Amino acid sequence: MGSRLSTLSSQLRRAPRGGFALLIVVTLLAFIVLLLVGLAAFTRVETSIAGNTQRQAQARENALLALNVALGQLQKHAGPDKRITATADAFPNGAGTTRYTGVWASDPADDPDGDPLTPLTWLVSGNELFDSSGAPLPLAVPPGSTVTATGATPNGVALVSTNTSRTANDVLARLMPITAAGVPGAAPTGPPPTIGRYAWWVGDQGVKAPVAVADASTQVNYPPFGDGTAQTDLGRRIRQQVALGAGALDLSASPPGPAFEPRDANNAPLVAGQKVSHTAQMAFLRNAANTQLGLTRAQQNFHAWSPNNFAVLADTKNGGLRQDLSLDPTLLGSAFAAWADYATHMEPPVPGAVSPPVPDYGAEPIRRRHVLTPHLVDGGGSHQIGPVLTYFLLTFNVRTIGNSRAANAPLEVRALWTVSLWNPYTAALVPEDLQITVTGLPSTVSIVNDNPARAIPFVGSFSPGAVFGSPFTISLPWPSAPVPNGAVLEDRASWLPGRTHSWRSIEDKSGSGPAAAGYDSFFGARDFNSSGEGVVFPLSGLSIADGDDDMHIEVDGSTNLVVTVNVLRAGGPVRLGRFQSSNFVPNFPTVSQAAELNGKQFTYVFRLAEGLDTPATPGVWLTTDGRDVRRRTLPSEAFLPEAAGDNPASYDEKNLPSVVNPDRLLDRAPGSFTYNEDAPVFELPRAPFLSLGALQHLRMIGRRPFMIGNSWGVAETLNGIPLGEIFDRFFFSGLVAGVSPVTSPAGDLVLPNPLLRPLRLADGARPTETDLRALPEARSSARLLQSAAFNLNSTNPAAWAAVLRSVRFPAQPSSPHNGAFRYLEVSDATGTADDSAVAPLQSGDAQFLRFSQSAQETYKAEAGFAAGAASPASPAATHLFRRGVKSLAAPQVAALADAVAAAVKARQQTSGPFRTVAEFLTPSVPNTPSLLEQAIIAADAVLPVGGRINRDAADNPIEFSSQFLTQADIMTALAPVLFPRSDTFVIRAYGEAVNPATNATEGRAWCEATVQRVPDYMDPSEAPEVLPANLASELNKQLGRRFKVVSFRWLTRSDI
Amino acid sequence: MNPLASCLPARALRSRCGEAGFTIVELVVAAGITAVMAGFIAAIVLNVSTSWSRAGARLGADAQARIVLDQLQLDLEGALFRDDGNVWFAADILNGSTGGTTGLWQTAPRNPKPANNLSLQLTAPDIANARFGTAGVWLRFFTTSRGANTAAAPATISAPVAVGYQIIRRFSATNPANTGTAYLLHRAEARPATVNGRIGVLEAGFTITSANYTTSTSGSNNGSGTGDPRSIQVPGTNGGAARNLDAVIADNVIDFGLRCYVGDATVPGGLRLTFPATATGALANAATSRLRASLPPGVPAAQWGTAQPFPDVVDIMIRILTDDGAEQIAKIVESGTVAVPQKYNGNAQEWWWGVALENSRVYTRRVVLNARSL
Repeated sequence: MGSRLSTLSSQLRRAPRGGFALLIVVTLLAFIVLLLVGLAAFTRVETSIAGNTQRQAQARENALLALNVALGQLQKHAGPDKRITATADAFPNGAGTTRYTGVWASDPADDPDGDPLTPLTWLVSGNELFDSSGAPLPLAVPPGSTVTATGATPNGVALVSTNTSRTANDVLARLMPITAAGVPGAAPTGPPPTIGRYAWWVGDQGVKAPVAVADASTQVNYPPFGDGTAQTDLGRRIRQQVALGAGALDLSASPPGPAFEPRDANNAPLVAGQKVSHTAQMAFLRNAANTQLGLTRAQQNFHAWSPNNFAVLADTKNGGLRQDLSLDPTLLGSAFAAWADYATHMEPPVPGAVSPPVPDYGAEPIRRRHVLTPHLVDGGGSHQIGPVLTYFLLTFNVRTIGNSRAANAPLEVRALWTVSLWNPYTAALVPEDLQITVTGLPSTVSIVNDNPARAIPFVGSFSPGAVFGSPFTISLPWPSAPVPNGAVLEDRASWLPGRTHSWRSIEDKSGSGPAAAGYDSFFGARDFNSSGEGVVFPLSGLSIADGDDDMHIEVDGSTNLVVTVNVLRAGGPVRLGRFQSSNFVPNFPTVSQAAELNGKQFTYVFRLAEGLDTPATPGVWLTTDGRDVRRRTLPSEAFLPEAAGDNPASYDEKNLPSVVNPDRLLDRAPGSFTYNEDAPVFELPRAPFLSLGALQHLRMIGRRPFMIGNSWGVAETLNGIPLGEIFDRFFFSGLVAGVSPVTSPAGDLVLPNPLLRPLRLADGARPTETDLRALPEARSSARLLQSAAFNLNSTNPAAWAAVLRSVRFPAQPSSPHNGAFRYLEVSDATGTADDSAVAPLQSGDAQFLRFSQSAQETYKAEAGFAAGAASPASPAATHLFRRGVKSLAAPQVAALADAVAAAVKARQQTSGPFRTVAEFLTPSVPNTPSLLEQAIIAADAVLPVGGRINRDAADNPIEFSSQFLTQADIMTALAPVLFPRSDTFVIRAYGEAVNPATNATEGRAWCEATVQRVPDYMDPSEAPEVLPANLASELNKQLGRRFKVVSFRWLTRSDI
Repeated sequence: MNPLASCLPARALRSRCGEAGFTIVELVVAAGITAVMAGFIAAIVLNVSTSWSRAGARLGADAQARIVLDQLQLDLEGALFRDDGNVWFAADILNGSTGGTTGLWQTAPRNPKPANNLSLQLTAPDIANARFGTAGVWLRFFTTSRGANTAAAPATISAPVAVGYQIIRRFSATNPANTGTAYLLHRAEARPATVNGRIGVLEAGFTITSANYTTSTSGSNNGSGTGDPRSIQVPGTNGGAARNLDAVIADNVIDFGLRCYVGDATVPGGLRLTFPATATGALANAATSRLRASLPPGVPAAQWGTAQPFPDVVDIMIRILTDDGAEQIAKIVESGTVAVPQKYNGNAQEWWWGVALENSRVYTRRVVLNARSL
């Protein structure tokens, strides 16, 4: 017991000290634990942050890897000139693969499998792989392959989805693994572990419509487009000659209407200077109600609209850069060069010019006059400016002198005529005195006395050539006396556009023969009955037994008369044209009549065939091969005899035709001065050409009109170059001789073709006019890019709809006259008016100009007129020929765009994408409509009656006139911007970091780059203008022209 | 039952318990041991605390630097340029007693950051050792924002925007009663386009030096609200209240600088310095150094004339004070009554930089710009 007490006592003594130690220990441990926990927390946080940072950095690096792979693939496949691009829309595709971009070889020889339906590659991740020998593997990810971004085992990732295009998983790209050997913890054998993945997709911007392009034409204010400070009328006409940027159409509206107008007051400041460079910025553009378009609308049109696209002016058929016809028009032959050299055949457009029209030019003339010019033919083309014979009548009468009824009355012969010549151009002509010569008149005219009492019926014979001279020469003087200003006759101061003028014979009984210029004629009339006796010659040695005797005439002649029209110049007559009459019966007797009568015995009368003569197909006269009325020698097929037929004897005194026919297009009522009877068909150059489509007015020797740009002309050649190929090989900068462009505030040349963007020279300097002119073989394209470019292989209706609206005249405060198209407000009473009398036309509708340089002068027209206001129901429909502008309202454009897009898609499904512009213009089956022509027909099939494109309100076909929309009309507007490939692309790339141990994705990054192909080759030691065939650098041969990253940005998930 | 109670009488127990108390010696020894241990623990704790504090400060500075440099890298890698003659990228050295022209700079009551060569040492071979003026570099350029792309909020659309980076010594709290100041690095972003009647970049245009981005007066649609183009110069006054801190990206940033280069094969290393540089591409120690990039980067120097090229490469540096350093600068150097320590020989300007150097870290990063103009 004592022991236990001792132990207890001892424990009691020690207890306080043990608690203290414990407290100390616990405290220390607490501190240590706290310290460790704190440090651990810090370490964990820091490690976590560092890890996240590292993984995010790794993901970004992987994304950049993907971007570089994409850029390399794009360079490799689309760098060479002879490549074309299109999307997978027309090809078998699946979810998320419709927007894949394919690259095809334009030259079948470059296509390994020769199958036009399979491209060289689809520009999406998975198709970039090589085998161990370096040979490319077969395409692993065609559009038809399965790519999924969801589910248990996704093999792809969405690169375009709701936040880009309002469509979930719109573009899916295959995820490609990034592996690494030697990863700690990884098995030394077996496949290396995946440390990351990447994906990329190249989006084709060129198939989208460039809808945020500013009107740069207003800067072109130097001669001849302005005075160096402000634009004159010629400068403002640039807007009607070339596309200046697409006009977005809202196809979801009913009816469709403009989505926004980049040139209006609300948007012009926003799109100026290419401020809109990003698709999302279109959300900020404003509609007609001045409301921002909104992100949703912009996203919905992600695949249809782009701010702007640029194209290298390259030839996809032959390779190499296109040549500038403005610098060297002789590339298409000397005839074309002469035709394009407007300054040589046009009066100087300055006040006080020689032989000015009355009224004189205003300070800002919109009217130009051209000088009659003889034919110059070369290389299959022809240049000429001359009138066209539309009506010819020459009648003969043999009678007794003085209408004597006496015995042995001497005979005389007289001739009377009427001639009508037509100015077929939209330009006024400088009037000059003309002359016609007539050959092919009867060689022998025998006179036979029909009185049975006469023993010898044969009276005698004569040769008209011997009597009247051979050839039969008629002077057609233009009134030389000044025409009083304001008088009715003032329109005769010029030969106004599309106007037909007539002359008739004048009585001349002198018997002295013609003056040097020919028998004189009276201008401005055609009633030859007012000609008095006509030109009368006694028939020397011929008399008739009795003036009362009946007689007839037996004519021994030829089938055709040949009428040659000359202009009388100081050096003598200069031939302007030759016209072969319709066929006549060569030998014929006339109807018997008393010898003393004035009645005409036989008459050669013929007129130019026109729509009236083939009512079922009224366009025949302008659409038949060999019948271009400007032809050097227009064949007899182009003319028709009058209603009584081909026997001149049918047109005797009692049956002479009525010259006046109100239903004729190329006719004019007596005393009429109205513009409503003018019918222009062709345009003459009056300014530097800006669009190849405008070459449709060049005459091709021996062919039908409007060859260039239309389906019927593509196989012909000009200077050895197929007409269709012209669109692939050439372009117009507008930099013709004498034109000296100004520079923009930034120092860039402002070229007449305002959508050409100059690029810096190799030494970094901005190119000067001299630099461009000095480039060899007129390849100024080496330093130019075409803005507002569009890939014609687009299958997007909304894109096509916008592009088809590239020429329009909306309210445009930044432009003179608020952007209105101003046409000459001519006087209905006088046929002319002061140049300052103009009327505006303002419309956001699509405009297709047959007369792209001159529509102003002939635009004014009222429907229903032919030969005067008295016959408003005339089928001649002169107004169709005058307007020169075919306007398509939004529903029409929408229907046409639908048809074009569908046709392009159908073509791609059967034959692959168009490889050249020429292919696009060429019918797939000869002598059938081309794609655009089929599209117009297809659009008309769905449009309501009264609203169809090439049909009138009663649904009859519109005659082949400037109101009949042709492929060439569309190309006039779009030729500068249509290409069979794209040069602007957007690359979206994705990278992710993967934990090799868990295979979990621990970091993601997206980026986007806009890349642009430029003329420079990859190896800059070779100049851009070097043709591919002449390249020495293997790098350049294989990779072609360089793609540059012009913008880059990192994306977030919210951007996808 | 208490065992003691059962075995000991109560008296005996009281006696024995009284005898069990500590002797003075024991107490002294115990106290001594405790003191030694407490001292030991205190030393440990102090060291740990110091390390903690330093680590915390470093982590804080690191985190800020990471944010700033990452943001700058994203912005610069996406910087936009077009060869249209406009200035797309601008940088200015701000070396004055009032910083830039914001009107927001709060001058220190005493010993401000010296506006002389102590703060302007642009020629240091290593950018980390360079000093870029009292307010560092005012950097401005265009890039593409990374927005939420909310249809109802146009300002969130990812689109080209203008951004401006600059340091301002200004009030660091939105409460007007709080007059504390700090060196704040701002990243102002002008909205991509008009929102609610207030203009954006699309309306202001793509000349970063134009009036909309540099005007000294506040207009009705372009004041200094968040997102206004004018905020590139004046990053946030909230209509003049001078307390809008929306644009602050980091605090205690006492220097921000950059060097810009373009590729030039004729220069050793292949990069030619364009900012801050002499005409020959050498480092220049001039407060007037500035960059107005309007030329494409590929243009040879011989073609530059008076214009300057858009950079290919940018080196960035930022100097960030630790929290302690910031407090020292703010409460001891720039205010208070403490005299200049002896080691600075009475030179307050040396004192300012001495404290700054001892309590700051420098972070650098090289960024390659991706955009190339046509």
